Amino acid sequence: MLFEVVGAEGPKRFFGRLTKETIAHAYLFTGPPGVGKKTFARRLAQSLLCEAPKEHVLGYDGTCTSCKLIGKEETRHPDLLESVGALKIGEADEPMAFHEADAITSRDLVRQLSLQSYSGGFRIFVLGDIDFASPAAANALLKFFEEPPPRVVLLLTTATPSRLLSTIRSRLVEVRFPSLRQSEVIEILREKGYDQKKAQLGAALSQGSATRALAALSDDEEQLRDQVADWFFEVVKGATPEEGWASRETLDEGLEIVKTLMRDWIVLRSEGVAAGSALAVDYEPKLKKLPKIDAASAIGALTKIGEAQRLAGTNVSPALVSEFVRMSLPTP
Amino acid sequence: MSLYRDWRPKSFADLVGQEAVVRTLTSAISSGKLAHAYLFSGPRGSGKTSAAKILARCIDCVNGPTPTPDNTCENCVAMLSGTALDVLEIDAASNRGIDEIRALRDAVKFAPSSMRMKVYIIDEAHMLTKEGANAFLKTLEEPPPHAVFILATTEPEKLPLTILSRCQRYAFRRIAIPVMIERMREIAAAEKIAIDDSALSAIAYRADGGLRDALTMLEQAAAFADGKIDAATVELAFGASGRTYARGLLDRAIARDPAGVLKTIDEASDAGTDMQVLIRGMIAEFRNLLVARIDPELLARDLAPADAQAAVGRSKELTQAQIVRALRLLAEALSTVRSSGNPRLELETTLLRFTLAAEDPTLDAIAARVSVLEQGAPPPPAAPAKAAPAKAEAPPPRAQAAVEPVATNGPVTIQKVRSAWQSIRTRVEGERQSLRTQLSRAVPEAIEGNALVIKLPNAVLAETLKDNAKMIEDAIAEVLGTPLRARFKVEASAKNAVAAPPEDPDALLSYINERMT
Repeated sequence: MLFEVVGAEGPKRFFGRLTKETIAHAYLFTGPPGVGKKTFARRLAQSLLCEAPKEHVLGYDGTCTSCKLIGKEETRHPDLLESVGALKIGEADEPMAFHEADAITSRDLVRQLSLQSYSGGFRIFVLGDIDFASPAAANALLKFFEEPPPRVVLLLTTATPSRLLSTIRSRLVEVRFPSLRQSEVIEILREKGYDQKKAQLGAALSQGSATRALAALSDDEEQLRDQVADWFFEVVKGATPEEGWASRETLDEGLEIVKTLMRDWIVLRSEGVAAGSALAVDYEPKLKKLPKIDAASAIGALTKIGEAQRLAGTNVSPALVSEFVRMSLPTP
Repeated sequence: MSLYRDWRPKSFADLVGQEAVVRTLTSAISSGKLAHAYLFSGPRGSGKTSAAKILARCIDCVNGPTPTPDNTCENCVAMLSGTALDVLEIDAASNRGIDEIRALRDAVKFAPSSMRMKVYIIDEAHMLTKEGANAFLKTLEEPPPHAVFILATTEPEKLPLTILSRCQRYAFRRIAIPVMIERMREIAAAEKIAIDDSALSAIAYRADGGLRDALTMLEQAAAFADGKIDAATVELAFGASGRTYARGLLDRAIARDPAGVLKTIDEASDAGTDMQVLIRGMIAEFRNLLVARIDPELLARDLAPADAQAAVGRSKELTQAQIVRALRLLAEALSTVRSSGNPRLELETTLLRFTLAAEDPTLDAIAARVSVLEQGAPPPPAAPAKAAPAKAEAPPPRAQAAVEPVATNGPVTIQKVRSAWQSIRTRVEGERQSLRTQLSRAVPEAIEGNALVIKLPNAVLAETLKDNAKMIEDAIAEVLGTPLRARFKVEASAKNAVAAPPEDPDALLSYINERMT
């Protein structure tokens, strides 16, 4: 039996014990963005629909008709309906053709949910980023979530469960997805065709999210990282860097890079605190060469960077914000 | 069929955690004072729909109206199976428009088919459209004598005021943790689910006041576990809640151990804990500490007894200003995370700032440090404050770092008492906060034989302290290692002397009060 999802140990074990009889009618997958919630939902749906006989729900053979209809990216299975993002309530009498309407609405769903399965098994609905559903759309599904028709399984995903109606949340079984481990991110990146070195760097910057790792390895971001880091090391050496990095688009991200470097400096080189390893692995050797730092100026700098982050949210000129940070960084 | 549907309470006696609502409803029913419209409001999983279903049976039971429907007569059986023609449960979220309400209004007129009354249960009432709600108004105000409406909603503030004023309102409360644990224990026993106490409380915390959430989780945990359900199973089934890590982090932060903080965060991150959840967890923990400092009894609703006790213990290690500062820093971190930041980085830097408060130049941090000095509480790493209470010969456990150390042997002099006075005060205030004002005005004056003379500016203050002399004597004995009797003396010239206003804010307040009256 196959189940091609990297990571998600807890959810795997959780569903690994359930059978077609004990599976509940609706699950809510929560966890940080980019840890594989939607992928898991798709593969779970495939498992439930797979025709191969098996004891527990998890796993599929990949060769039956059902599995062939569910592709890597797009699905053509008539008993699997996927919808991602802003769900609207929809018009009362709007007709909907399965897999043809460009936007699925709550009313479509309610109608679809009461239909019989095509292949005689489950009917599965994967609703991604359900927190983007309009309140009316979400409310219209409430009573259904409470007492659904048989043989229907709903798989909802969200990165911010706090934005859901609490009445919805309490009707679903919540399954938490942990952040990915570094090794798991490396595995995913390798699958995507990155070499080991790149994959390691991406994993270190990923914060446990595959989406983030991919973004971090994009050319734009890598360039900004180098630019900000060069600037940072110039400043703490006491020099005045010639080239700034701050613009409206790069400000938030740049400040975060500065904060990470500052944090790493404290973790690696301060009296009394020194513990753990750097978050910015690619700069670790350079950070280790920095002078020792005392707690007072470190905390002072962190506080100021925090303030700069708040300023960045207001209408302050990016150049001024970066200047403010430059002056608050400790110099020899 | 899920547990929460199987175990929907069938009588008011089974409806847990809503004593006030149940009492009012039962006495209204037994005295025959039924209203024609009810509004049940309260958070999810608190029992609104269940109460509405019970109330419907109270009204239409063959032996009714009675607060204890028998659930066996034909009417009750029909209602329990959802086939009663005269009890209509309407989902207002999908039947929310004016047309649906018009249909309802037309149908209300007809007399019930077999039962005494027609009962309309309108669930999710807040989702009625404006037009729908308005079309409903006249019917709701003066329905035919055979109709009763029960509206249930989680968001009563979304209903128009004109609806609210036509209904009798019952506010349902969140289910308290201990009540929830008891109910789950009962159900688990009946369903033959083996579960231990730690798992029960782990589920109860996650449920966050909603009994339905708790039962859903109980059921899933039971399907998941091989044998007995314990806290580890719950963690595995529903992901780490971060509570364990939040507690660990809290202890490291209180102990002013920045390296320990970083290590714990690293471990949590390795275990795949969502850092944003962890930040929220820390906020909850600090909030508990704050409540523990203000009034420990309030914690009973939110925490299991053992956890409440631990929170009270921890809260003694921090001043109120320190806790408030931590909360503010964490709230800032959370808002930064929401807009862009890296949750782990924010949590780390926040806790570094908190633990290294001594180095933090902001006003906030300084205020927190002042509060520590005022209280005379020790900076925790120096002296583990959890040491067992001193016996007669044991050295003082709360040797104050701020004041000069107190010798444990040798004769007790008034200087020694004065330098230790702050810690004696802290100790007494720890026992009884209300004595703060009196103590702030008390001055140890002299040692006479084995008695300590304490000077006070007026007789009222002296009286209050005299009533608590035993406690003060105990504190003196504990701090100085030598028992002394406490004698209180009223300062003779206090009335006339134009003393400089005291510095301590509490004392200043009573000083002002005295002069005003």
